[in-house]
Amino acid sequence: MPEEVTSLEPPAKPFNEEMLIQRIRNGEHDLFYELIRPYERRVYSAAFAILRNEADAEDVAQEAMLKAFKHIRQFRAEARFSTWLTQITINEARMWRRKEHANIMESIVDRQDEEGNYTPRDFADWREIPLETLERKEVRQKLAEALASLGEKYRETFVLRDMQHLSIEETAKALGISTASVKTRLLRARLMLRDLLAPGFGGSWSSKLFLAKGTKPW
Amino acid sequence: MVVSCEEVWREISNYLEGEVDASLRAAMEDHLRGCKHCTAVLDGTRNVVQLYGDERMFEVPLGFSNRLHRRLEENMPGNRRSLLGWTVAAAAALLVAGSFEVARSSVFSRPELRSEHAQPGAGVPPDMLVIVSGDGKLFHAAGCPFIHDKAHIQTIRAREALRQGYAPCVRCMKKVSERLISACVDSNRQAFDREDQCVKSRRSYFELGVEGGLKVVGDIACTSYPELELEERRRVLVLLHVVVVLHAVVLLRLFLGLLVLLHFVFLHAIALFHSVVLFHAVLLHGIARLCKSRKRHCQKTHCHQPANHLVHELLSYSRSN
Repeated sequence: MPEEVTSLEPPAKPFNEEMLIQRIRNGEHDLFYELIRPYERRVYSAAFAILRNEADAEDVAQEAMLKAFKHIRQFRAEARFSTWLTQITINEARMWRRKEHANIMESIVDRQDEEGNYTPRDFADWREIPLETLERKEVRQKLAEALASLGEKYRETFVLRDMQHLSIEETAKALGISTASVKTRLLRARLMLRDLLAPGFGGSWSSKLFLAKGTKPW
Repeated sequence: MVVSCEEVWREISNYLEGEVDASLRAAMEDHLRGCKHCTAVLDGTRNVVQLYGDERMFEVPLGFSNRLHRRLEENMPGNRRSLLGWTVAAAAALLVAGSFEVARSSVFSRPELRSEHAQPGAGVPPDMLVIVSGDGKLFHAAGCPFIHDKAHIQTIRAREALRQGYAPCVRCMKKVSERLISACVDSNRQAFDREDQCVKSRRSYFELGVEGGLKVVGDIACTSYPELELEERRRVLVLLHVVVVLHAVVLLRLFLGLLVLLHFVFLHAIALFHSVVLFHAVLLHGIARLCKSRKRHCQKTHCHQPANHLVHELLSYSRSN
């Protein structure tokens, strides 16, 4: 029977984070590098998941870190630093996209209703997915492409919950939506990604078109 | 409780989160045991969660970290200084350096050197044991092959030797001071390497190199007046403060003087302006009156000739008297 999913557990919090933050507030600015080191990758990936562009993601990640440094005094200890940082990154990325006038297609995709039930389209069995496949660049690329093809609100929710490992409540807070919406979007995002990836993991990574939105290679 | 495939799909995400109640969970597990499709969906969804949740999913671009740190450094307070800040800092540094030089050159009489050609020792640690010979002019490190008159040598501290007017032997003391300085550099380098590894391992080598270098320079600067004793250093410090305060007072006085001067110039200008304006006003008023009264007839003579009113008034006044 299905065993416990361990990857949903949030990563352990560094024990001296509060101390570091306190010392940075007291003027030891150099310690900020220490503070953000564990989160560099997360901030970048959050920005990338929203913007889907390496250069933009890097700029936004830098902006977000800078903003976090400038507003470190406003950070409240009751929230996790990683959540706070992710929230700043999401806001920065959204502002960036607004500034850059993202394509209109995106917003049309976003208007899909989330009320209707999503029906899985593919029932291929792909039980055997070792995580080592992530070492292969083309696998990572296919995963990234599948994620990029999701509608924005699904992508954001999925990234925060399943990639940044925020809790449902933290995701809801970061996106400014209800926890019920987070759950609905999360369900749909997960099922859609599964549908998009199933054929590849069924054995045909060589197929070029299988990830194009709404098309199937058969 | 029996659940349909659609219900299982609807709850599959919550099931993975562990957020379904016990009865629904049991019903779903019951359903999953018999439904191949739903099991495939569950396995696939769990795989999606696991794959995307892995750290390796996103690679940061090459050099991301360095560029981030550079960007942060450019924007951290303390790295930016205003022109005024730099000017003040430079002025203060000049003042301090100047005062120190003044203090060194004028207040403390240098011990008279035994050799008029030698340079007084600097950079020699005051507590180091050195060797002098009775009538020699130089002091040496132990084992120096250039010690004359070895019959009358005595071992004293470098501070004492300097006070008695001995100059350092260029052959051995140079080596000693070089060794000391390189030891100082080495220890600093080691400390900085340790620091590099633990605290600032993310910062680039070049920046640390500059910092380490500055630290070394700072240490050398601290030991560059070793011949002054504690008491003398204190006196230097007091003198330094006096000089700084005097400078401040003189600057303040100059500033006030400038203010007063400006004030006077300004007042003069205003006074001049007022007198000119007044003069012109009086003049214009007189002219206007003159012009006006010319058009009138003289009331005194009743003649119908236009007359200068002022002249008439003057005349009548002089007549009445």
